[in-house]
Amino acid sequence: MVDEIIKEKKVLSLMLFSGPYGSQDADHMCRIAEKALEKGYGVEIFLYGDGVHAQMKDQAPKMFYNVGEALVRIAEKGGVIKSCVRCSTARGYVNNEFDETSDRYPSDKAMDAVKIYSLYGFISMIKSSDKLLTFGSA
Amino acid sequence: MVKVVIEISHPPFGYEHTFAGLYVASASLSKGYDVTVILRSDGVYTGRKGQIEPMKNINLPATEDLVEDIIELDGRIIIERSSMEMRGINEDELIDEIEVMDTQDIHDIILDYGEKVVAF
Amino acid sequence: MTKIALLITKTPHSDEGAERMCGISKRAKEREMDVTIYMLGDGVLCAKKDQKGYVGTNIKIALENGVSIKASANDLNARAIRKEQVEPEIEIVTDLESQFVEDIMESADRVISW
Repeated sequence: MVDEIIKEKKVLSLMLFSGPYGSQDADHMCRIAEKALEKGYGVEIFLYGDGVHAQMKDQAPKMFYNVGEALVRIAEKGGVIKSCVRCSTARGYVNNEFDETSDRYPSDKAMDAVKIYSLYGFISMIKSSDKLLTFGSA
Repeated sequence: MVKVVIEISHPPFGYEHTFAGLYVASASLSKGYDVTVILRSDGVYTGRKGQIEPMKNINLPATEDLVEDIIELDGRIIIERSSMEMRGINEDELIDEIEVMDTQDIHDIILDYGEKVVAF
Repeated sequence: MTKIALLITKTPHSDEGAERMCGISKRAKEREMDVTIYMLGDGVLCAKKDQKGYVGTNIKIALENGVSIKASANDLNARAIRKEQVEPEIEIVTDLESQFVEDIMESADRVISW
């Protein structure tokens, strides 16, 4: 997984605040993120509030757009995906203290494609992105 | 310096949105960003002072403390007059240094200070 | 000229952004900014003709004032909204996400999403 965003590329940041499947917010976010990657832009995603549930492993919706698989695709194509540690801890995702080697808070339940991280992960996206979109928060 | 507008439209306590927005505001201020918080719609309830021990009463942190932190860090907090009026909130109920503004002026703030806009 | 892109994914009466979007669009036009509105997901319901109320009225005003409004064809189809039920000057677009991304990354100075 590519962790560094090349500085010359324009970067789109996207924040998700609502859980997957309860609304289309996650769908819209993922589709727009994939489109941006297709067009050669950098993509950074931050999962916040109930949005952290999008990091859950083994999502298997019978008939809905699979958000988990979309995030895996996004990460494979170079998107950086982080999620809020405070929100993740509240919801039972975090096992342990921050791990310097893997640069994340460890989790047995979250997909590898998503790094559980401090809120400052989002704060720096606010600054470094060319454009910022939010989904499910308003 | 990046200019961020954080707009909060949900009431404090009943939803996570207010905490989420205020945390983003104070974390952004700690990084030296220019931050404007706009309270509109049900978000105006967060502008009221005098919360009585929310942690003891309902097991939630006081949003009033977070608002005061933001003001102390030189964040700007603006509240929409029309939303206040609809909800029967008078200016004397507000936390000090919150600015009451009309909707059109708030739109100007968003257009002028919202390089990045996060709506909660 | 400053260009603003606005993305709406919520219905006109849910207090989840459509009113704010209309207000900002109106003010931006008064300040002679270029405005484009993108309607995606439930946001396409803002495109429906014959609405009464703030959003419906202001969508019509926005169109009269030269705001470009695009609505996702996929989302309109899914929601059984036919072309003749959409405000006439709204452009129905396939692959709206593509146009939106290009616009915000290459043209628009600012973007706000709800």
